[in-house]
Amino acid sequence: MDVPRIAVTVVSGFLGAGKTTLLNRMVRRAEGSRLAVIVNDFGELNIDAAIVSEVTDAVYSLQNGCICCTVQEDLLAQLASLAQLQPRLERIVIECSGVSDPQRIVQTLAYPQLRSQMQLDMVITVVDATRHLQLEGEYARLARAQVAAADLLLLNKTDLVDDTQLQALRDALGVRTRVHECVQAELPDALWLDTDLDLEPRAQKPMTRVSADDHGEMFSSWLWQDSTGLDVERLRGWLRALPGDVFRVKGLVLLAQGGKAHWLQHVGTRSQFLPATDEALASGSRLVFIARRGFDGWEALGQGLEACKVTEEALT
Amino acid sequence: MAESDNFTSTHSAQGTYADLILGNGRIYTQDPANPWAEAVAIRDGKLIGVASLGELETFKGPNTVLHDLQGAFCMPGLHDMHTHPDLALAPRYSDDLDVGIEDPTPEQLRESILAYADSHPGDGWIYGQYWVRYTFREAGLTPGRAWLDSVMPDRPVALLDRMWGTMMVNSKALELAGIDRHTADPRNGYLERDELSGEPTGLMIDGAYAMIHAAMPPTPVSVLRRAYRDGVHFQSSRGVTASKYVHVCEQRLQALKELDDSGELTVRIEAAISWQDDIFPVRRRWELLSGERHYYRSARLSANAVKFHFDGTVEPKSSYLLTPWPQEKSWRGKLNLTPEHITDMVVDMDSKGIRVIAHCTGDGASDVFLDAVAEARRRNGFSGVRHQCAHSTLLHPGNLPRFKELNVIAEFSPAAWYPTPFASGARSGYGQERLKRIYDFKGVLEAGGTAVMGTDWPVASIDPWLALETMVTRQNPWNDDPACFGEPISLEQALSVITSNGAVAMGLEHMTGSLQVGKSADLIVIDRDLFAEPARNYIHRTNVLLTFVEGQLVYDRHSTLAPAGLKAVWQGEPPVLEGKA
Repeated sequence: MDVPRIAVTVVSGFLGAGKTTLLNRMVRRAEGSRLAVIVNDFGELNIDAAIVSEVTDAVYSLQNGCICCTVQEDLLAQLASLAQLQPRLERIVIECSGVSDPQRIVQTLAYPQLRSQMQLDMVITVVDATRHLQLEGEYARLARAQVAAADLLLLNKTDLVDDTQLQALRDALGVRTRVHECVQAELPDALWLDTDLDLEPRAQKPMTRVSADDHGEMFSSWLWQDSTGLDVERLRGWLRALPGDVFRVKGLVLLAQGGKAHWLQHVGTRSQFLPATDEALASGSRLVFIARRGFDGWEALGQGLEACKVTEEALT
Repeated sequence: MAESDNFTSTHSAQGTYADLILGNGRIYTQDPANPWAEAVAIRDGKLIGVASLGELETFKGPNTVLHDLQGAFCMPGLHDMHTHPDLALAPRYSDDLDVGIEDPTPEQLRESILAYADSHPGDGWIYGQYWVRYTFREAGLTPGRAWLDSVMPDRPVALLDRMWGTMMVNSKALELAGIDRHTADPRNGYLERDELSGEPTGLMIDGAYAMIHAAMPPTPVSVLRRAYRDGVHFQSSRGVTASKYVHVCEQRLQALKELDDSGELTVRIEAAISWQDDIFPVRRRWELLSGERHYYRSARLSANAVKFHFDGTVEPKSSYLLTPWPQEKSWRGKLNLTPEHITDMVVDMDSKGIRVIAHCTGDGASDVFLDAVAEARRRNGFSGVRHQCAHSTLLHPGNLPRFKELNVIAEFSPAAWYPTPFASGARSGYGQERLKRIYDFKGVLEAGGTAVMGTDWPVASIDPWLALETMVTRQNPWNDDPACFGEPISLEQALSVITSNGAVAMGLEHMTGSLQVGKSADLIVIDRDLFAEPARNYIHRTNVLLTFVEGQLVYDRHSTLAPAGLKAVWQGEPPVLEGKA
C-alpha cells in the first residue's frame, strides 16, 4: 500500500490581502484532521491554546523575517521533523511572508530529502481586489511573481469593487490562472481539501457525475474511468489545455508506456505524477474532476481522454 | 632598463645612511617600550631609527631624503585579515551576458542571448543573468532546457534567475557538465527532473549551480588581475599594508603573481587556498597544498593557508550553535564537514605548515574547530602555525581562554558588529541573549588571546577605518542612535587589533605590525590625530596621506614626495569601489 505523502498548501499574498483570515478559516476547517501550520507571525493567528491542541497539531513560527531570501535550511529541517510526527500529519499549511516570492518555498519542498515525505498540493495566492492593480515598482513585480506561482488565485474583497474594476482585474490576472472570487477570504473546501475526491469505481459509463447538484454547492465533481493505457505525452497535452473552470484533477492513471499506474494530481496548471507501487491499482485509470458548478464541458473532457488512449495495435 | 634585484642577505652590502627620514611627526609606534616618537629613519626598506629627529641626525647622509611630516599622525600600517576583492569585483569586470532588464519576457531573453552570441562568436559558454519565472508563466512557457535549446541548441548556456535560486541551462551545458538522469543531487541543492523519466529539466536549484560552474572555463586571469589590482589600490590608499585574501585557486594566485611581478602588489597578501568548490572550482588544490603554492611566494605574497567553511550564516539559521536557535526545539544549524574530517585535516595541514582559516559563525562550529586544533597540538606539538577562526560571530565563553592556550587567532568581521537596518534585522535571529556577546573582541583580548579584524568585503565595507571606529563604539557610525551591539574596546586595544595583532595573524610579527628598529617600514601617515576627538563619526573619516610597505612609497595622496624623487605606485583619491552596482 502506498503511504500517502503529506499534502502541503502554500498560502501567499500581500500584507492586508486576507491571508490571516484565510489561515484562520483553514485552521477551523481542519478540525479533526492532522494539520500543521507554519506561519511568519504566531501572534496574528486567532487561535487559543485549546483550539491549537485540539484542532491543529502544531503551529510553527518562523520569526527570522521574510522566509524567501535564503536557502531554507531551517524550513527544510522543520518540515523534515514534521514529517516524522506520529500519527502522521495529513497536511501542512505554510504561510509566506507578504513580501516574498512563494517560488522559493516551492523549490524548498522539492528538495530530495523532502520529496519522498511530502508533496506540494497547491499554492494559493490571496489577491486584494481593491489594491492589486495599484501596486507599483518592486511591489508590482512581487505581486506578479505571487500570481504566477499560484495554482489558485483567491480574488478577495470583491464586494468592495465594482463590475468594471472586477473585469479589469480578471483581465490583468490572465486566462491561464484559476481564479476564485470571494469576500472575507472564503475558500470553499472543495478547492483545497480533497475529501470529496472519491475514487470508488462507479457504473459503466466512463464519465459519471459523483456530486449532487442540488444543495447549493459551488462545484461539481465527475469521475472518469477506463482500463486502457494512456499515452503520457498526449495526456500532458490534454492537461495543459484543461479549461479554466476545472480546478483539480486527481486520481490514478495507467500509462501505456511501461504499463505502470501513477497517481496524478493536477491543480491549476501544474501536474504531478507519482508511481503507484500497489500492483492492484494497475488495472485501469480513475480520475476525479472538480469544476465550477455549471461547467458543461464534461463530454469534451471525456473525448479528450479517449484520444489519449493507446490501442493494442499502436503498442506493438 | 629593468631595475636590478636588491634583496638583502647575510653578506649583502649595507649603506651607512638612511634612504629616507620622516621627521616632525606624531608617531604612534605600537612599541610598548617606546610608544611615541617624532621621527623614523628607513634604509633598505627597514626601520633603522625610531626616535626624536635629533637622535636620528647620524643617519642623515648626502642622498638621504628628508620629509617634514608637519606634525601629522603616523602609525604602523593596517591589517585587514579577511577580505575578497575578487568575489566583489570579478563579476563586474567579466564579460558575461547581462540581460539588463528587470523582468525580461522570454522573447526579450531570447533576443539578448542571440545578441550576445553574435557579439561573442564561437562555441564558448554563454553565462549570465537574469531571467524571472513569472514572465515565463505569463507567456504560458516552461523555463528549462527545452526552451533554451530552442533558442541556442549548439552552445552551452547557463543563466541565473533574479532570485538567485535557480540556474537555467540548456542540453549542451548539461552534456558538458556530464549531467544526466543518473546524476545524483548535491547535498545543498538539486536538479529539477521530469517526474516520469528522471531526466534533468535544465533547472538547477541552489547548490546544484556548482555542477555547472565546474564544467565552465574559470574566470580569466586578466579579469581576476583587474579585480585584485583595484582591491590593493583601494587598500593601499586606505592605509592597509597587509591583508588576507581568503579563497583562492591557481587562477587567482596567478593573477596575484602577475601583479606582484609588475610591481603593483602594494599590500602584503596571505592568500588562502580554497578547500571547497562551491564558490569556484579549485582544479589544482592538491598540487597547491603539497607544494606548488611556493611557486607564487615573495615578500608580498604567500599562499601558506587554506580556507574552509565549517558552518553557514545567521540568516538561513545555518550557523552551527551549541544550543538550539531561538524558537526552535532542536535546530542547531549545520556543520558542513564531520568533526573527524575537520580534525584530520587540521592535523595534516598543521604538520605541513599551512594555516587553517576556518569560517565559524556559530559557537558550535568554533568549538569543534578549537577541539581539532587541540588535537593537532597534541599530535604535532606547536608547529609555529597559528590557525585562524574566521568571523567568530558567536563564541562560547568557555572558549575565550582557548585562543591563547591553543595559539589560535580570533578574527572578527564587522558585517554586523554595529547596528544598521540590515544587521539589526538579520542578527536578531540569534536572540537577545546571544546578541549581547556577539563579536566578542573584549572577551578574547581579556583572556590574553590575539583578536584581529577582517572586513569580509563584499559582505561588509572594505574600508578598514569604518571597522576601526566601530570596534571602539559598536554603534552606527553615521547617526546618533544610542543602540550598541556587543562590548566596545578601547582605541588603544583597537589599534593593536588592526596593526600588531594582524602581524601576528600573518606570522610576520618579527617584521611588521609596530614601528621598531629592525622591522620593515610598513607605515602610514594620516590626516588626523586619532586620539584627539571621540571616535564616533570621526575615525572613519580619516584620510590616509602616505602609505609605505617595506620602505617603498606605495601611496601618496597629494604627490608630496614626488619633488624629492619618490614616486608612489598609487596617487590621488582612493578609487570608488563601493556604492556602485
